[in-house]
Amino acid sequence: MSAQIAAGGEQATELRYSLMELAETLTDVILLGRGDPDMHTPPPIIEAALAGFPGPLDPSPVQGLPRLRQAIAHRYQREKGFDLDPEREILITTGAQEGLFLTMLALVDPGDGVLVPDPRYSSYDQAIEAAGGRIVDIPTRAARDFRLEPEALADRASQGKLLILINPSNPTGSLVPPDEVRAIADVARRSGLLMISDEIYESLVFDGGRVQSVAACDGMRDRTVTLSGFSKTYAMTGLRVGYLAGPAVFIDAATRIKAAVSGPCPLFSQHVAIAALEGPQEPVRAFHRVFEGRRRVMMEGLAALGIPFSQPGGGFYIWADISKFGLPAPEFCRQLLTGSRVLMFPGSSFGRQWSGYVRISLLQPEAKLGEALERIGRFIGTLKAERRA
Amino acid sequence: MIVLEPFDFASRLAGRVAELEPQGASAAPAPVVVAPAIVAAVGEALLGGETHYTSRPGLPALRARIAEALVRLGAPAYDPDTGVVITAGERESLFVTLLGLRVRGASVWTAGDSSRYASLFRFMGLTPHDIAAREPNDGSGGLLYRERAAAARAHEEWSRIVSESPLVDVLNVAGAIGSSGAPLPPIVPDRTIVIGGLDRLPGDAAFGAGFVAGPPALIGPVRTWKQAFSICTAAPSQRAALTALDAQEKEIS
Repeated sequence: MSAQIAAGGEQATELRYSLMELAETLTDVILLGRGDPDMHTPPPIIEAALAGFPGPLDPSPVQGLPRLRQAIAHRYQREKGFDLDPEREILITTGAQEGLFLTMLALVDPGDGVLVPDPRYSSYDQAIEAAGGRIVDIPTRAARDFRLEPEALADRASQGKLLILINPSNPTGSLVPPDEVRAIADVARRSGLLMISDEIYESLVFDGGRVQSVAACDGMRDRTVTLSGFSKTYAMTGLRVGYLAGPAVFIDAATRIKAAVSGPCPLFSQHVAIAALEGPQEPVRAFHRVFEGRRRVMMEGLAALGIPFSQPGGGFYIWADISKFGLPAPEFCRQLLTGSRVLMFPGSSFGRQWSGYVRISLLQPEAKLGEALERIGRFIGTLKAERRA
Repeated sequence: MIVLEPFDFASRLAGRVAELEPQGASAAPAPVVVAPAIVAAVGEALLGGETHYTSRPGLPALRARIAEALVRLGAPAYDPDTGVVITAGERESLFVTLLGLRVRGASVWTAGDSSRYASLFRFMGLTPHDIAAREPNDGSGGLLYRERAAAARAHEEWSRIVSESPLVDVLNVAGAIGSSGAPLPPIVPDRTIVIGGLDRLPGDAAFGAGFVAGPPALIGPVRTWKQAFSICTAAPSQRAALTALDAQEKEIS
């Protein structure tokens, strides 16, 4: 593995953090930046977990508590009709991002090409680069809401060993529909690609859509790693619990690497995840309703302001085109933050070429989103006036 | 085009990780019991809304406590804002330190018993050598890895080697934070990174936390890679460690 500096990914990440740190020095900022749900973890989940303490409790093996792996397997069986062996095919990670890193460390040899859609969350770049991999961008198009397309994949498939599908996408919110997922999987299988399917936003899909698990596609089970977690579904980013599901030989390898680099996910956090999965699922449905309302408010507001955006099929982000206002996205975001007190992330923090876009997180109540839209409206009004002058 | 079939994938994987242990040494054998005060503090914090990402270097109060504790043990006064990063434990501390130092292909000079990390060093592309075999006039760089538990006299010698060469020094103090025991061995202020774990604090084993501390020039990249690897350390783990350290401080005072 390589510890070469992750130039592109690191710069992109630092761009976001520099804005977050600037926001911390200001008052009255409406935060539409980081992907951290504003809602807290539902108290019944926390109370159920706390009931098991102070213990004594069984310690966790590096692979994670058997009960949590079993609960994940049950969920897959119940919701997807997909059987996972909790003993051999699931690894609990300390957040999904660690899962991504472990996957790259396990699968990528120095120089290996890793195919990833452009734009994307920059942590993918850092994980690939840390493992010594070579990033192979797969272009996406505004006309297709920035979805990964099978044809675009086919054009570049020979350049890589692995394909990462992020569905729904961060930062665009695009949702690849089931038939296209199957077509992508078919290209991957025929090209001999391994696939990593990041499905962390799968509980937040809208307009009747659904996430087709790649591992459930024909011929993909033995060549797919599914990456997911609890942070977004149960509003528990701070607990840091994720998981990997994949072929037993991969899970064994990733577990060995996890044992070497970090050890088991904190026992307490795993008990919170168990409480989340085994308890009533009404909070998940409630969060969905909340984000559905926010999405509607933001889409209507952006349309009224004449700001184009791609149709978000899932997740809690909207990818908006601000190119007509004449400022590169980092400067647009900096001025919007310092002058109008709204934080959003520049598109260029998700890929160099995206300086005409911003990522807007739906992580404030509807009233706050309305206020943010008013501020954005005044801000772009000023920009337009300056351009006319 | 190379077509990678699943059985190729399996054999390559097996080869790559053959040296790593299946479950590591970190699975504690004994049942875990959490101190009631920690359960209460963590519960209160979570129900009060501390369920989100913390700042990437960790809770400011915890970083300050660690900096203070290190000073009490004889370390330099590290800046909690720029010189301390909270991790998920001792192992992650070492891993993100190695990532931050960008040492692939370098030599790691090991001092004392570092066998539990030998496979990690090799997995990270480092070539381990025993520091005892280093020539007196060897001016090469790389990394020195040492553990606090070694004899004081040996540490004096290793610190001298660091001060006279371009080595970066990684000193693992393991669970020293949380003890009022012996002072730390000599530290070379601008080239020593101190790492350790916090899960050995009384009643804290269910949480898992650790730290990396040192001069800002060395800690900056470590912070970047900690964020890249796992964003931040679990909020309840940090709250638990802070509670345990506070309790210990009261006991000491």
